[in-house]
Amino acid sequence: MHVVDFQQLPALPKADEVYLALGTTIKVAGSQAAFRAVDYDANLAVAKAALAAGASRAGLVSAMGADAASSVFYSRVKGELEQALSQLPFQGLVIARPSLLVGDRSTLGQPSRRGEELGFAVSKALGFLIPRDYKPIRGTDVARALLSAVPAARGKTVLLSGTMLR
Amino acid sequence: MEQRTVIVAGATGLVGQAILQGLLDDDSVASVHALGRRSRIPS
Repeated sequence: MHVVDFQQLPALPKADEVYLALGTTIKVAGSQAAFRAVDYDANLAVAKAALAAGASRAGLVSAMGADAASSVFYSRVKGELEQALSQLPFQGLVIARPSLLVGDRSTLGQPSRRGEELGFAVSKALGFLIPRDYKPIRGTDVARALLSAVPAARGKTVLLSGTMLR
Repeated sequence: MEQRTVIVAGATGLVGQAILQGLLDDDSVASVHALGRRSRIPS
């Protein structure tokens, strides 16, 4: 475990692969700018440093609806990150766009995200009406999908919840 | 597959923690470098 300052990232050890899973919320971060510093700047800085350390493949935890042209700030930041990573010379890039994430955040020492809990309750009641790509997904399923796709990745692959659900 | 060395950023998070666990369980992974703002990795 390396504790680092993502605004002044040191040179990274030589590596083959990098997984980018840094993320916060606007509420926890305290402002849109602070959110962007984590979700965009820090992930991109790690990607560039990993490339410099020899990494040829990357996996990103993005989000459903990520779109650099979105009018929603959160989705726009995610989309801009995807776009910036696509322009880096990785041999393979896998982007996971999970819908609502399910998992116990309290064991991580994180505050709960009320939207997640509410969405999960609604989806349990009305699950049969919800298309697979919009169904809540466990964090472990997202991880498993990335871990199986990244080692053999060539070019850019986008994974939606429907293909990651088990 | 030859042995891989992997970097993970955000390994204390919901998905990152599961990624880290998966890498540690994978025999084809020689070493993992976890980058974090905090030193605590929940178990």
